[in-house]
Parts: sequence; C-alpha cells; structure tokens
Amino acid sequence: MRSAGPDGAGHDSGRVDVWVPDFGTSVGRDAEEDAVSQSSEHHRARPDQDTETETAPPPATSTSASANKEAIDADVDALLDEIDDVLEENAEEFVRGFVQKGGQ
Amino acid sequence: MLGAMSVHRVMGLETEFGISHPGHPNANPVRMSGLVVNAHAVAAGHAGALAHRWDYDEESPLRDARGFDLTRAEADPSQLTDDSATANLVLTNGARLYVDHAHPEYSSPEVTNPWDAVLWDRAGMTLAAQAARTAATMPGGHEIVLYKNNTDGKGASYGTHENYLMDRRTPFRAVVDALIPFFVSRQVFTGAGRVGLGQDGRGVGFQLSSRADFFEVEVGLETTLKRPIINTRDEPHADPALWRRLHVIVGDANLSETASLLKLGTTALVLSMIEAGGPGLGITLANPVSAMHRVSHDLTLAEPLECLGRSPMTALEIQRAYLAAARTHCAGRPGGPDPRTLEVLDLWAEVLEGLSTDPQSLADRLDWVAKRSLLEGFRRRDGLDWSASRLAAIDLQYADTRPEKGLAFRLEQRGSMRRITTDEQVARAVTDPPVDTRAWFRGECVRRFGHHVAAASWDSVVFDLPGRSALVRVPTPDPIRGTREHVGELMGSVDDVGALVSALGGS
Repeated sequence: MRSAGPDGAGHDSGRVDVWVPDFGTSVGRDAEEDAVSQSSEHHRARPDQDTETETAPPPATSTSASANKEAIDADVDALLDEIDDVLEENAEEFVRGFVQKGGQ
Repeated sequence: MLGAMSVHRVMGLETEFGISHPGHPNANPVRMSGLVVNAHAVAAGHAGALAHRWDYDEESPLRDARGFDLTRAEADPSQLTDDSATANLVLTNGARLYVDHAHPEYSSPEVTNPWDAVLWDRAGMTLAAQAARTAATMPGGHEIVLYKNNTDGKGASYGTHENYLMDRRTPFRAVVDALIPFFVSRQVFTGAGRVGLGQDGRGVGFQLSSRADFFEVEVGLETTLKRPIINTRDEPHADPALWRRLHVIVGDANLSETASLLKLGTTALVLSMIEAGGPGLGITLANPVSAMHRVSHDLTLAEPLECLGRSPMTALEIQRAYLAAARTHCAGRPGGPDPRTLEVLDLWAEVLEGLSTDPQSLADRLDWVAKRSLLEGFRRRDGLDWSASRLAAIDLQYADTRPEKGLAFRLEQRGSMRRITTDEQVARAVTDPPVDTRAWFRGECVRRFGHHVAAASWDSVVFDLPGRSALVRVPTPDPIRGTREHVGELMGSVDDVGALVSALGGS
C-alpha cells in the first residue's frame, strides 16, 4: 500500500524521466499579455455572470435609515419565522459540542 | 504584465472547514476529515477522474511522496474507511482536496481574477458539503457537517487563506508596510462577524471579524500559533526568480460572495500599486496588532487608530485613502481601468459609502452586517442577551455548508443575500477547471487520464504509462501556461495518455 506506483512495484528505482515540454522553465513576460486577453475572453464567454446581479433584489434604500427601520424589522421578523424551524433544537448543547482543533 | 493597474492576477483561495459529528463532540476530527476526502474519492473516483497522490518533490518525484496510497482501482468503499490521515486528492477542476491538520481543506485551482476565485471557492464548498453527505453512507461513516468558518468560539482557529502571485522584484519591506494598514482596516467589509470576544470567545458581544483576535504579531512565518498579520511563507510554486506567492492568512471565511469578491479584488489592487512602487500613503499604524483587534470590536466603525507621524485615522478613512490611490493608479492605464477593475473600484466605493452612512443597507452584501441583522432580530424578538447560547448557535449555523440548514444559504434563497455566481456556474466549476491557468492542463489530465496520473501538484503532473516502469513527470512551472488556449488543441488531438506524453515531447 505504501509503494510508489499504482502497480505496487517498479517505481522506486528513481528512474524518472524529467523533461520540460513547451511549458518552459524560461518564463517569458510576454506570456502575461496572452493571459490578459484569455482572461477577458473567458469573461465574455460567461455573460450570465453580469446579468445575475441585475436579477438580484434591489438593495434597501439608504436615504432614511429610521424610516426604513420598521420595514427592515418586519422583513427580519419574516426571516426569523422562516428559519425558526431549521435552527438547531438544543442551542446550548449544539454550541458546547462544536469543538475544533486548531488549524492554520 | 498580468496584475498591472488591474485586479487581474494569478490567485487562489484555501478553505479549512470546521468539522462536526452532531451529538459527538469527541469524534476524531482527523478521521472524519479523512472520511470526507475519501467519500469524494468514492463519488468521483468511479469515473477514473482523480489523482490520489500529491507530488511533493519538485526534483525527485515520488521518492519522497507521501499521500493517500490507494490506486483508483482499489478505491472501493469497503476499503475507504478511516486510514486516511494523509488523504490527498487532485480534482478534475484543478483543485486539491485533502486533510490539513484536523480539518478537510479545499485549495482552489489557480485563477486569474477575483470573480473566478469566488466561483471556484464556492465550488469547493459545494463539493465538500456533498462529500460530507456521501461520508454518512460509507462503511464506518456517520453524519458529518462541515462549517465554512474560522473558530469554534473556544480558542481554536483555522484558516481561510488567500494566495496572490507577485513580482519577485518588489521589496518585501514595501509589501509589509503597505499591507498592514490595509489588512487591519479591510475588516470593515471582509469580516464574517462573530459572537464572542477574545480567542476563547468568553467576552460578551459581537465583532466584525471571526479571525482578528487570533493575530498576535505583525510579521512571521507561523500560521498555527503566534499568527502574524503578514505571513512570510514563500513557496511560489512557480519560478522563484520571477515570482513570490503572497500567502495571506488574516482573511475571514466569507459566505457572502460580494464580501469575498471585494476582499480579493481590493487586495489585488493594493498589490498592483505596491508593485508599481506605491501606494505612498505614508500611513503607518502605531500598534497594528491591537488595531486589528480594536477595528474588529468597534461596531461604530469610528475608532481612531494611532498612526506614526500623523493624526489618528479610522479604518474607514484608511480604506478611503487606499481607494483614492487605487483609482489614481488604475487611471494611469491607457484607456483607463478595464471593466472588471472598474467594477471592483466602484463596488469598493459603494460599500465604504454604505458603511459610513447606513451599514444596514449592506445586509445583502456583507457577512457581518447580515449576521448581526439576524442576531439583533432574535435579540429583539426573543429578548436575548448577547451571552445567550441561541445567538452563538446562530453564529455557527450561519456557516453550515448544507444548503437546507446553513443560514447564509437561507438568506440567499429568499433573496436577502446577493449572489455573484449562479448555481449552473458553480456546478460546472465543481467538475471543470478554469481555462486560463495551468489548472486547465492539470484538471484535464486528471479527468481524461486519471488512471494514469500517478501524482500531481501545483507545478507538476506525473504519469504512469502503460508498459513503462519509470514514471514520467511533466513540470508546469508557469501558472499561466498549460491553459486551454495553450494546450487545448494538443489535448484534443490525442486519444490516450501515451500519445499525450509523446505529443508533449517526452516519448
């Protein structure tokens, strides 16, 4: 199981062909220009990305925060009602049980 | 060059997921993480479309190879249980899925702009959540839930790292000086929000960032303790004479696609200015580490931060200074900023303006605002104190990666959180690599010739050819070669892996 190759043998000898095809170790700065054009082409190929934000709901107007407060509260209340049924049932146990080891 | 006066730059995102077996707080997270990675191997591996090894050694491939040792032919569910502390997969979308410390980690493929970074990051969350679901059906498996967050609220933190390729010629001192004030202040829009103050979360209250309290020094190599605002890890996975990889560990795990886009886009712009010798703002924080914590804890966004040689500035003032410099910088491009760069500049301005006048107006775009809005709603309706367990539970559940349970998903589903990606794009990005980096070559090799890919890494694909005892290693040292435009025709012209290797010049 710890062999170096999928067939279980034959690859530990260090006989490894290493060559550089036209990926090139000499990295030309000219390649960057190619990438810029590829990148923009990439975006043109996905126009739906641009239209998506337009289908999103309009942002709450911010001209009068206090006037909006009631509407926002009502909207939040509707949201709270919607998510009440998916919330973890025993919050205290859920929070206590969420224990992680440190990572990076 | 790629990156000059724009948001276009080779970049990528790494996400370490929180992992939990509901009802079993003592479940072994390393074993569970292995189950998740192997569950993806089972689900995807039947198509032969996986590489199971990471090629760690640039010079002598596989002599020192560690990693998950089952070949695809052996990838039978009965064998894929918990012997997987080093589980390691290279995916058809060019990404890496593996166990890092005690968390499953998804490292996105290299992309060239913030939009693609958001898309392939989201793809990673989607496939990881699906793998966790699959894990429950495996022998020895059980319910596993993944969280896209950064802390358990009890003292442990795990990262969401950004990676940006930079010009090696840029002095690192210039990078450090310009990035520290930027990173400290960008929390006002990158913060994912957190219930609890301090590393162990015992302080009562809410803060902007889930990550800020874990930073203890300004500059350093560590990532797991004494975390630095500027991480000096420098493995470019590219020609080190030309490139540096900036490894950014201060970021929050964003569920909001807008916050993630802005995080990546604005940082790319600041790097562009630094490479050009800028931004020359002369802003130096007197106490960056404490400023990091204070900005996160200051919900008024009005905390003055002491600066050297000038009067104190708020985080918003610092951000406005960087924005103004970025606008000037990008105006220097012939024809003005490209459309994507202009979009980031305008979004940056709009968000800073919203934060100045009415932060609540950004509840559909910023994580911390959305989360606080939810929490304040529950506090008001149910009369809860900030120390209530329900609020801590909502904080965690905001980041639940299951679409039916995760509160960020629920916000999206009802139109209360804007999307940048579409479900269709995400579904494609789960299987397909970006076309404009070497991730395309890597992902296509894995998809088409997975049986014969002995190992792969960011800068190599190692083939095991039929009838040959020696492995054949194809180095991919340049992140922007191996694109579809570069090798697509060649890849399309070959029917088998031997022909591919011959065509590449290695027969």
